[in-house]
Amino acid sequence: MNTLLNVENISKYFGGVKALIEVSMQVKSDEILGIIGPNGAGKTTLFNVLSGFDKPTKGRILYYDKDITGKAVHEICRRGMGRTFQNIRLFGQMKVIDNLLVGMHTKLFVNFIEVVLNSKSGCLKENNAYKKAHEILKYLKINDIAFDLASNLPYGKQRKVEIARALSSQPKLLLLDEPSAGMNPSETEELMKLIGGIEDNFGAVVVIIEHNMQLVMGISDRIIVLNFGKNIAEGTPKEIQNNHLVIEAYLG
Amino acid sequence: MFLQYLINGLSIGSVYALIAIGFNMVYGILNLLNFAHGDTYTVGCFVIFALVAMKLNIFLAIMCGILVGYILNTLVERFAYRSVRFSGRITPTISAVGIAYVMRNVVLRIWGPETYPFDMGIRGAQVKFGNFVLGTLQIYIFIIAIVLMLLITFILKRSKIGQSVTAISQSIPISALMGVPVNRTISTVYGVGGALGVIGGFLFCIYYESIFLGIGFMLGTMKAWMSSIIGGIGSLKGAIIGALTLGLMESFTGGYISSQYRDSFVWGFIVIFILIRPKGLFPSAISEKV
Amino acid sequence: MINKNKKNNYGLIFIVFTIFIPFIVKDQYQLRVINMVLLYSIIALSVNLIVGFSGQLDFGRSAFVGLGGYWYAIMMLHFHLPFIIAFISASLFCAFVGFGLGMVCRRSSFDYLTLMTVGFNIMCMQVFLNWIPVTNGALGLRLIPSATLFGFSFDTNFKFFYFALFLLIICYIVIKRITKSKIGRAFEAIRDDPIAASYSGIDVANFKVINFSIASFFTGIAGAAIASYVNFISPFASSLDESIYLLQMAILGGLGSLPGSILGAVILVIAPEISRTFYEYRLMFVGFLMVVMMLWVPNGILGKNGIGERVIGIKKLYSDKKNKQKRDNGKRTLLKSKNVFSSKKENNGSGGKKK
Repeated sequence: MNTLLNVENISKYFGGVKALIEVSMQVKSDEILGIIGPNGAGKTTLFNVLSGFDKPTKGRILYYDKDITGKAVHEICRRGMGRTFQNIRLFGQMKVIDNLLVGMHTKLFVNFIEVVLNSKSGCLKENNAYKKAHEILKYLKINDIAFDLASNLPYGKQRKVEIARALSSQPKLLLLDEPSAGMNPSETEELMKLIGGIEDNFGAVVVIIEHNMQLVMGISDRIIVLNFGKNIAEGTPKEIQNNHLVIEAYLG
Repeated sequence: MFLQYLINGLSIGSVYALIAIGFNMVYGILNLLNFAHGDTYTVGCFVIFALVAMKLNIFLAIMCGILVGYILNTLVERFAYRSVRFSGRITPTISAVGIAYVMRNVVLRIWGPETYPFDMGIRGAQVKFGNFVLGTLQIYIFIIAIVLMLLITFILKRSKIGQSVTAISQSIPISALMGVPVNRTISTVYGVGGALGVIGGFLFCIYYESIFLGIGFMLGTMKAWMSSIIGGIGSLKGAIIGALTLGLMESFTGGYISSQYRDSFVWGFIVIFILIRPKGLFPSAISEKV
Repeated sequence: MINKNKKNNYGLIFIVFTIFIPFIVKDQYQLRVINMVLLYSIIALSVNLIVGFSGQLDFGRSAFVGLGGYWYAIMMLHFHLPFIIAFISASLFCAFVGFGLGMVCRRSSFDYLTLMTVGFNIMCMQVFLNWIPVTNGALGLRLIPSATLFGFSFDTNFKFFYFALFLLIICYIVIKRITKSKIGRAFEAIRDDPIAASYSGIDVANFKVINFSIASFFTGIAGAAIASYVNFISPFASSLDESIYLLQMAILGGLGSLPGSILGAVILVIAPEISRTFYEYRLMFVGFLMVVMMLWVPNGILGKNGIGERVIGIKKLYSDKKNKQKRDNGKRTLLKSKNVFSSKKENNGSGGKKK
């Protein structure tokens, strides 16, 4: 049980707006961490800061005990962080399978010479990548749409493709930003099972932002609650449900 | 000489500013590079030229030219830009380039590539201040430009249409939902930009006493673009200051460094400027959300 | 056993047919036009790499054509280098300049990059015109030696045809392999969504530079080849108008479609030769074409949902079902079995149509 992510007193100010105020938290291996909070609490901003999209105004982030504060997004993702987005960001003009292959960019070690000469070793690596991509699609039960154009897919499938793409980079830490948004109850159930199995099947620790309480309470080992940019509560789902600060935040 | 270059730079800069305002506004609201900007006002200027040649009263001719500029810009927007408004970055830009070339070639067919003397009977007196020369024409140009700029700024900040413009630059769908007449406002912005452009082009032609095809793209769209880069996208203040800066840069570079390679040097400076301050001097604060 | 040189059927057909062209076409003027088509196809392919695959707008290609041509000419005329060195160094020079331009613009937004390419084009033309001791200014450089390999000189239209065809085939194959590889996918990812691309570990700024460098390399090849064929180079060939014309070749054929670039080159090189009117009005035609195409057929002729598919019914080379079967059977075949006309609904960036 080691600590993947150590967030130390992160603050993020956008001019006058204090999106995050001295947030501290830890992400440990072998757990699913849920992040909840009213709208505008700073959840997505937290993800943005963790993944390097925004630089924190104060504080630092340690990933496997290495300081990654201020590093570029592609740098951090190369080290094993994957992410999905609140507003889906697929590569719309590429096929689903290609979306996944892009996700594998950092793990596919084909160099320029191999590409130009179409060498056997290069082709082998590509084929292996295809194989892996198909397995991921199969896990998410969307292997039938592997060759469809991403922008042609229905919303629910697009969300799954995004998760698949994030998984294909073999992340150690997977950040899911409201993955069940726009899904109906049965899709949400299926999603719960899929997310629950990610650790076992892909070895990735999941941090999930969610508004769907049933989903996040049911799936998380631990939950962090943000409100107005502050970390107001932390604990197991049961503890959170009974925490009066949390109840106030949502109702008050 | 310094003062001379300064005056020249400010004069030409204020002309650039008039041209740049229309360009920058469109750029700021719709994130579209209106490549055809220069070519629409070229048409307007040539219309003035032709009308004056046909002995029409000069003020009427100017009015006509401005009207032509206004209408042409709205037409271009309506037919070449509106349907591709949301189609990414490449499609509208290419459409703009296309329409620019069409207009440029129409002007080319009618008037040819030659430079014509642009004699509007407006002569400026030369006033000598020690060792530099100030043309009264330059003063007039500068004043006209400033007045127009102030007018536009005022309208943008106070009037209803100004508010609509600001709203649209934030989000078109939401503005539409709030009842802002999006298409009409955008047409107006384009139109006003075109009208201002014609005024700017006209002043330019008077300043250099000549008119030719190239005042459109090279001297209009490109300068407007460069001004927007220096000044910052989407801000009126940016357009004006950027244009004045550009004018000064050109004047000083041409005078002190080299007139042959002037444009190259100016480009070089702009490149360096972008590297230091990629968003320009007064950028609007909207960034992409994740 | 994976055959390294295996081409798809269309490629083979293309080669078989074109090999005999110089024997069939006896008119020297027509053969000359065909040779220019071959060389301009390479340029169109390079434009496609930048605009179609990477989603950047490059209005300065003609500058690179000029750079390649001038470098080759100067190496041959002033330094008397052997052909192969002059030729290859010209392409490398262009790649290097492309690299430089890319590095300057690496963090620039779309619009700034476009502006930079325009500025670069203007600068190059100014240098070509004014640096008289080197470039001979407006008069251009004449009597540029033709291509010579091992003593064999490609100085007739007939002979040059095979040299040009050879170049085109090599460039096409290499570019195709690049686009189907992870490099090509990275380009397309940058086109579709640069932020998501960076979240997939792609250094967007670096890849834009790589894209520019590779494309400029090929442009340099074409530029040097043109100089060696026409035996003359003029600074006015590196104008902004010319860049727009080159851009339209890639657009007309279909951005993202490699055969499309060749088709676009064919149409736009031959048309002004056939029709005097077209030649005179060619920029207006091209401008008009641009607007019309952007409004109705943004994907050109051979792009996805382009004119080819809709009107003539050109279907994809391999259907998706076939691909799927191959995958499921465990017989994983390569990238080549993917859709050759793998282009897109719209040749541009993030987001779909939001009306």
